Amino acid sequence: MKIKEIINPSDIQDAYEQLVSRKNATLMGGGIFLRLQRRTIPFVIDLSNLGLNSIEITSTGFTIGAMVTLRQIETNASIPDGLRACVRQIAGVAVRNMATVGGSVMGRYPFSDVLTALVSLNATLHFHKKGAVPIAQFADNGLDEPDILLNICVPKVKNSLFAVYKPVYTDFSLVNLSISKEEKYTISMGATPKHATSITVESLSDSHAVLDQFDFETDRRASAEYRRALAKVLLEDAFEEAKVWK
Amino acid sequence: MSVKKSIPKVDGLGLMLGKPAYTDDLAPRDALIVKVLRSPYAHAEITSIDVGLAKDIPEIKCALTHENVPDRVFTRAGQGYPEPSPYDARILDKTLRYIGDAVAIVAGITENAVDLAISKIKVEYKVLPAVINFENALDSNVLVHAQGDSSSMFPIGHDPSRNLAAQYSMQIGDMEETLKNCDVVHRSTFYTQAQAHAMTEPHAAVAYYDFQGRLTIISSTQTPFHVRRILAKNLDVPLSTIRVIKPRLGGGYGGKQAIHGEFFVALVTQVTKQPAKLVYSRKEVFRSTYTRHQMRIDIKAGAMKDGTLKAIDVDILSNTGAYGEHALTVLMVAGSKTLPLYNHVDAVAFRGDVVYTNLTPGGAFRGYGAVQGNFALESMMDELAGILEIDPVEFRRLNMIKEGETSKIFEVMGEGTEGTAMTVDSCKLDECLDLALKNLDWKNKYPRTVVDENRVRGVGFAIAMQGSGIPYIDMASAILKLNDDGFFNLLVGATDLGTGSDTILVQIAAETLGVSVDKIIVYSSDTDLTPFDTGAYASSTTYVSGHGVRIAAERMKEAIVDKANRFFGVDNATFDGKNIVAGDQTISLDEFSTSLYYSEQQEQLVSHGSYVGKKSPPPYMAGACEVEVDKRTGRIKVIEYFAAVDCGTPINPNLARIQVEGALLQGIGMTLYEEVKYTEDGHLFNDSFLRYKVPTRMEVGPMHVTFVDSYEPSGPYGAKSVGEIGIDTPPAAIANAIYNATGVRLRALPITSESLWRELNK
Amino acid sequence: MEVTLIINGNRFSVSAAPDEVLLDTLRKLGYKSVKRGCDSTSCGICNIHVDGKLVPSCAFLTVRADQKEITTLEGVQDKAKEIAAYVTAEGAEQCGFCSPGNLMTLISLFNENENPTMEEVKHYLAGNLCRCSGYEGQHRGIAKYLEVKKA
Repeated sequence: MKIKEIINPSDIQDAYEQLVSRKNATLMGGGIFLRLQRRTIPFVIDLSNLGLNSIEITSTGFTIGAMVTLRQIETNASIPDGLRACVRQIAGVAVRNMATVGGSVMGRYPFSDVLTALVSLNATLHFHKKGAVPIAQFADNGLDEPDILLNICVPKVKNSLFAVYKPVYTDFSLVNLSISKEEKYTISMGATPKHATSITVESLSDSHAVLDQFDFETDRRASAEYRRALAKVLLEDAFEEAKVWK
Repeated sequence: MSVKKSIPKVDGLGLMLGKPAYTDDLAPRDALIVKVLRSPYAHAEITSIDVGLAKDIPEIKCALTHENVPDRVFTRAGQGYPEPSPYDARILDKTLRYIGDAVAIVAGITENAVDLAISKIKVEYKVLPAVINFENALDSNVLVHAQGDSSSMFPIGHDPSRNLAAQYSMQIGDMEETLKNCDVVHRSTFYTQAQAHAMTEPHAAVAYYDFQGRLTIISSTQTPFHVRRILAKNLDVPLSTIRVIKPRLGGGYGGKQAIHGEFFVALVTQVTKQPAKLVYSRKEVFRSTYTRHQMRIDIKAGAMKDGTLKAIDVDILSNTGAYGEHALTVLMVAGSKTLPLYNHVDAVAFRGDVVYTNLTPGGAFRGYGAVQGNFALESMMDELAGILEIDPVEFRRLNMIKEGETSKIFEVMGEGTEGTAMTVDSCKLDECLDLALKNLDWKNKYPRTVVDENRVRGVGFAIAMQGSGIPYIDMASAILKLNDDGFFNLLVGATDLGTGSDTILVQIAAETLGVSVDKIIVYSSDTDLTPFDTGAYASSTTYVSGHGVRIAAERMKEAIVDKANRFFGVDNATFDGKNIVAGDQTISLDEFSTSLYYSEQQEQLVSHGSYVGKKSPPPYMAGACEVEVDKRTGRIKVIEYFAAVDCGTPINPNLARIQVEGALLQGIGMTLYEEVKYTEDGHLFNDSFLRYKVPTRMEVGPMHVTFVDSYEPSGPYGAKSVGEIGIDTPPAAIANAIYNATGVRLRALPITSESLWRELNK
Repeated sequence: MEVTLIINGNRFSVSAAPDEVLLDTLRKLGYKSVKRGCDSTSCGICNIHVDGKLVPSCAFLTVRADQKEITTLEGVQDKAKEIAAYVTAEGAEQCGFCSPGNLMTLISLFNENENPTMEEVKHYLAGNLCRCSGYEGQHRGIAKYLEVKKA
């Protein structure tokens, strides 16, 4: 990674103006994924000084600042299980201390565990300009113009879980799954190898019917059939786990 | 007593506390940054190369291409001389034979400038068709070394016109006749993959002219003396003008036996007269060093109904990638360090072809050949026992080698040459097997335990052997110097790559002299200051270098007594490690040595010892494990691994144990998780730790390592080697356990969860 | 860009390019305990503390560390020695190259949790690769350290 210029604004409007006025401006969250880029980045806007790094508990759920680290999520006991669990096997603690939830979301990485959890939780993204965008819509379409993610609102749910298959503990997922329950159940799957999508069901009974609503594909890491088989197991185990949910 | 004692490594605390000790830590502050432009094509010829724009950048001090470096063909293998590897490589070559092959070298003041310069080099390539699949390489119409200027130092079956780096065959007994008379003949084909060493310290080399104008190389190498020889020869400078220093190494496992960046930094320093350093990126380590040789192994074995093994016939195809480093020797070891396990057979045959492909070269890697051969042989023995309906343990007991026996293979097969006949004076394989199985509770667990409807556990085992150095080739030496105040400098050529060999050699010296270990100050691996040693490979350090140290220490003891006799005017003085006693007179070594230099006799005491092995006594082991398989996903978890090892006397039991544990996990990694993967056009797909997954600490279940009581008469204090043996058993033991759990026999490594799932769902 | 770094309690004014990472800055300043093991932030070897948080120094831009407290192994030698002795007693440091990162990670863990279980230790260290030891010896050493500390 090469960076030609970097700024560290303390005002969100200022940051936004820089983003829209400068050609090729790139936002930096934790900086982990940025570092892996092999290209030269002409202009970086560091978001670390905008006060986006706190988790607030509200009456309807949680507001997670875009710069909240994965480790903050892991260690915050009031965060829903499904979201807390999804970060545990993402690289090591040191990386999780830097990588941000905003970075994980904005990359729309198909292998993302965080995206899968947030999709099942029906989270809402709040952008500086565009305002509220449902996570599923963002996962599918991204943004049509540059914007800065401020925070992610996660509504309260009764229950949630996250399950994953990783060949090695800190590996990329071959498939991941998250289920949350409020009135109904939202089931999301990602790393299929495509990014997370979700469906909503009334009850957790027919794993085959659920599976049929997801597409699995082959890449260098696993075949489509194998991913489907793994997903089936994750689902069945999750259904079992969810039996005790109220 | 200093041996059989688990003292901490002499360098351990300093390393843990982060003291500067590795190559890059020791580079001069003003060293030029050296980087290498690498080939983007699996096979191409450079039709033109222009470094003009790169050199125009003010911070750039040097840019070298094949047009202006010495044009010599040699092998980078880092072996003794004459090498058994083909001479098929150049420092920089016009022909590029794999993605990652070196195109040009650039040196400059800053990393940014060097990166920029590399991007400014104009290269025109004529892209050539490439050989990617090793099973199609032999007699392919695409030749990896079509130029016809490669050669071998002695016959190794090298035939570049067939893509053949090396070839070997041997037969003992009448195979055809023996197989004809067998009750059962079984044949299977096994595949083993390319594996990456993934040592944590990337390869690094530094060069500078010292104040006397001598070219000094600091290198993360396992073979400093070979580096000096190969560098001098191919840079066309006298050996005497080069000094190679091996500092602390961040792991090697064979991956630092060959020459890597040393030529590049040496050339930059020669041209610029400035210090230079090259630290490989992790991507370069993956792409541009080397891997374990990928193999296809066909085994045919014949036996009688009563369980007598009669014949083993092995045929191997080995993939050496773009260059033939260790091509012949890895192949031969696949036979020579496995087949003697079953020494009672009437006929044994071994042959193999080592082929070139346009991929990252194969090279030395812990357990080389042996681990591939062991997977095939020990899987085969379980298969055969199954066909014969004989207990696999009983089958091994009936047929395996025992103490006091020999194998004709020792005599026939060496490493690149003929072997050395020997009887096995220490072999506790039977005890190893008993112990490993007992510790695992084999009786109750064999073959499987059902956990629930989805999960089943199975047990499996394998036996293994290695060697201890290469007889009449690997030599080592040591110098001991007595100082005033009664402490010693121990100078050894032996190369500690993190294993703790410095410490073990201190223990051997202290034991022989009868002094405490803190009286021995060890310094190793500096071609100007320490005596010759072939290097850290072939499991040779404890056995060969240790022997050299013991001899030096014995001579030192004699010299001390000799001087003491003169000091006291007697002929019967004795030295007990602390004091020198003559009749009723006593003087401490501290006082005596001080007097020796300041007042009496005034002569420096120095002793030396050198040793070349006359045999290569194999360490033996049995590895037994329990695995759990989730039948729905194919996930395989090694629940527990039991190793019982006969390495003779473990000089330092803790360090020996860690050698085995570390090797076991590398073997488990090879069995279940690791594979260097290429795309169809020869791109290494997983060239980072993000994609190439070595086991983390969460993958491994408990590993229990036990050493059986054993004493090798030819070894220093009864020691044999222990560095490599640990890696050999996991592939077969785990494959056998999976078979016992599920009835599925997997013959290709790695055994991924998907590959098992696929078989379970057939 | 000019930045002020507070390294192990000492203030340094350094000039850093926008893409320079702490790993390189620290090594240039002589903090050689900070080592590079990979180029994808996936080995744990270069771990240090910034404002008390464990981070990979290979991904932490130096300009982002302006006015921050940086701790390398050189700054916590006494604490490190205490733990290291238990690992060297097992012979499990082997080549030693991963040790500084391991120790910085362990010290971070003990700062957060004085009495972790071995399961918590392993999870916390999961991102720290070691290729020599097979990990088991490290775990034996850490377990003994924790036992003695508890007693």
